[in-house]
Amino acid sequence: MSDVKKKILVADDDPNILDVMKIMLEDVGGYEVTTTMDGEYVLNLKNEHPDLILLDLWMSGMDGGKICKTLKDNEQTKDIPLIIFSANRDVATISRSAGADDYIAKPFQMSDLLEKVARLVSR
Amino acid sequence: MNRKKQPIQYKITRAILMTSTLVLLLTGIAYFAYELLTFRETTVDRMVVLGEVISNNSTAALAFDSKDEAYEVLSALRAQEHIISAALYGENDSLFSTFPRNADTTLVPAKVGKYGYFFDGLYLHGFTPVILGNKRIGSLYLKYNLQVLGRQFFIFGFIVIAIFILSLLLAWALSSKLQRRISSPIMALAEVARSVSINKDYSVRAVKQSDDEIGLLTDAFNQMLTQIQEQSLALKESEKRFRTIADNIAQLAWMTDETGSITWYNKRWFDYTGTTFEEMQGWGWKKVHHPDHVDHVVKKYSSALNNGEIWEDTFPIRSKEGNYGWFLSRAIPIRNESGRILHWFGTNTDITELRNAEEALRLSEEFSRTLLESSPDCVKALDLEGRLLSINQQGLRMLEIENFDAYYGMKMASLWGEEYHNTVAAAIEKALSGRIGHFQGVTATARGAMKWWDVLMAPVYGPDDKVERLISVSRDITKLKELEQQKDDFIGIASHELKTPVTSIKAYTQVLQDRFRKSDDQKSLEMLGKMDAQINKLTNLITDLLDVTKIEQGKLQFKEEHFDFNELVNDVAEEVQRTTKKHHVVLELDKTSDIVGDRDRVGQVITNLLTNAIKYSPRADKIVIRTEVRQDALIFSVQDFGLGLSKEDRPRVFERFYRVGDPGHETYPGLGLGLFISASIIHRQNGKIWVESEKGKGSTFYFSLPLQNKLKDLNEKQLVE
Repeated sequence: MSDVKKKILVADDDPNILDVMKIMLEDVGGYEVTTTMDGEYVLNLKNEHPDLILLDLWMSGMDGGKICKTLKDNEQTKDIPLIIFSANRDVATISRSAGADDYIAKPFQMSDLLEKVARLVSR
Repeated sequence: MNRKKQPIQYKITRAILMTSTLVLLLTGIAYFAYELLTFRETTVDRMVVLGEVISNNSTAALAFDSKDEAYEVLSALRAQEHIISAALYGENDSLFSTFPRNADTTLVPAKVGKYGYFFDGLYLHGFTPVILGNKRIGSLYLKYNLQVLGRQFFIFGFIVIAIFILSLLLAWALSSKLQRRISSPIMALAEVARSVSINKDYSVRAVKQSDDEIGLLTDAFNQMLTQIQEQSLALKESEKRFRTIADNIAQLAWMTDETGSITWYNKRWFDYTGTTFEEMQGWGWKKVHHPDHVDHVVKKYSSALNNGEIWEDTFPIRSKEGNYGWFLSRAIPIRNESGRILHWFGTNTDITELRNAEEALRLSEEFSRTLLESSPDCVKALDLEGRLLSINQQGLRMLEIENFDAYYGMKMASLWGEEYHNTVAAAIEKALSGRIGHFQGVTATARGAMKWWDVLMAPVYGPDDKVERLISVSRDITKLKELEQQKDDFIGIASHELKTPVTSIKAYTQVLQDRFRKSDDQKSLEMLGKMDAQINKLTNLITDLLDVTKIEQGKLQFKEEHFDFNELVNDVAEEVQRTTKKHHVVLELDKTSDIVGDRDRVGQVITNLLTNAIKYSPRADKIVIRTEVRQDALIFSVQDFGLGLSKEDRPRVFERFYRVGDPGHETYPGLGLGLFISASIIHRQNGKIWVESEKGKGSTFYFSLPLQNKLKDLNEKQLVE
């Protein structure tokens, strides 16, 4: 494991989820976590590209699926691993069509989350 | 008695007698005239001769101037009784002697007149010269009494009359006898004719008595009778036929005289009305007419009679049961060759049933029309090719069509987008096969408004039980769809909103679990484990609710992936085993290959069946899971040794919200959705699900999935009966 912590961006419109995921990923996973409730922020990533993005499907005011698609269509951002996580039962289908690297259904098992994140981050 | 009416024998007799009389009369007159003429001539001749004789005899008396002798000569005339007087005159024409003696001047003229004899009244008298040598010596006068002649004529006339009468008598006797020979065959002929005319018996024949003209007449008469008899027979036959026909036709029939007064009704009339001819004749029929209609009927009938036009009318006639039937009545005038109306022939046709049927039809049509026009749906009539024939008013409003003419004959499918054409055709096909086609879809109205429709397509049968038309009933379900969408959206939001706190609770729980694991706080870990299990239950409930909503709308999405079935069973069994310490899950798995389907969904079914088995066998400790490959299907089963299902419950456990009631026992938590969702998932993957169970001994739930599976097309428009 390298000394530099991997950076993860978590985007969701629920502050509690952002809070607990930050705890989970930082305390248990050992990542450096940035959270946002703003879809625009995810779309306008400048130089500081995260090592992985965890994106909720239902962002307030924006469709997570579309954000994912935009990022994956962009040369500069298309290589950032992206996991969609959602309470939508059809998350699997939506994720696949949006070009996400993986998906997690809410509510989720912590082990499941950490495992998927670890796999994609070390790729 | 009119002479013309006298019998022929009188006429013949009279003719003969008249002829005889005339002949006799003419003969008598001729004879009489002849007699009269010849008598005068002969009488004068006789007088001249007598004068000559007497004068010759008197010459001596005159010559000798002897008056006695002269008288003697004259008295010889006494023999001649017709000579009533005579005289002799001397040479100097003086009276010399007379006969009778001393006759006065009334008997003899005093002087000599002109010689010769002349008729004078009843007398013939005259003078003859008495010549001696060539010398007239005196004159003779003779007077002849014609009265004697008159007597003679009287006798003669009497004889003539007697002969006349005798002749007539003879003629009468003869004619009576003769005329009988002529008249008796004629009389016999006349007698036969009279008997024929009185008795109308054309079978009698006159007897031929001779070969003369009367014989010919008799032959001709008999021949005529034969012809009449044949014609009369033919007429009778024809009339009999007419009566037979008239009595047996379905109509009431009748005939009238030229004034329209009834002279005959057929049997059916009497059968129907229960009347007699005596009641009905003339204008008696008015009795069986309805009082509300009879005046109008009489008016119209009279008008037809007056104008000699065919009469036609419709009115009720009372039957013998007392109720009124409706009749269409017609009458035509029957005219002779010169066009004069002799009779009217009429019929009354019972149209009660027709009227009833018409009325029923009218009512039924009105009912259908009212039904159609008051229907809130769009109702279309289509031909068998699915072309539009008509649309109800409401339908035109719904489709926003102003003028249907532009749509007449157009295919119904053309009201729909291309993507629905197969669906419409399938619905039509189904209706043609006698069933009801059904589909839902969205299409634009004439003005472009998008509307959702629920369409039923039904066959309409003709009289020969063949499908004649199609009826399409389309219900506007746009509102419903909007509401459904709202409900979907709401449930989507609700489940998301419910899951969000659950997600964070679960996450916090797991973070806590991690911490207690690190600090080795087993007690807290155990509590958090229980908490996590409850959170999972809550999650499942939320998921189930969402699934049911989606199943109802046919929106449950399925992935199509290859997966190892036994591996899935192992995973699920392991996971469920973790939640129970009491039950031991025994696996008896047959070797299975990969199958195609949605691994998560199938896992959901296995989880459901397994948790149910645990839930409903609280006093048992074993659950057996089996997999088996049978031909082209894979069979999965979960067997428990618990409560089991009653006969009544068994077929209903797969129904939505159905929960097994177990009065007197514990109640079991749950929404009653698990098996419904499981069954839906299995069916959607072309599988079957069923249960074998015995109350008190336990249940075995099965499902089968085809090995060569292919998902049912989610976009397929479901056609339901």
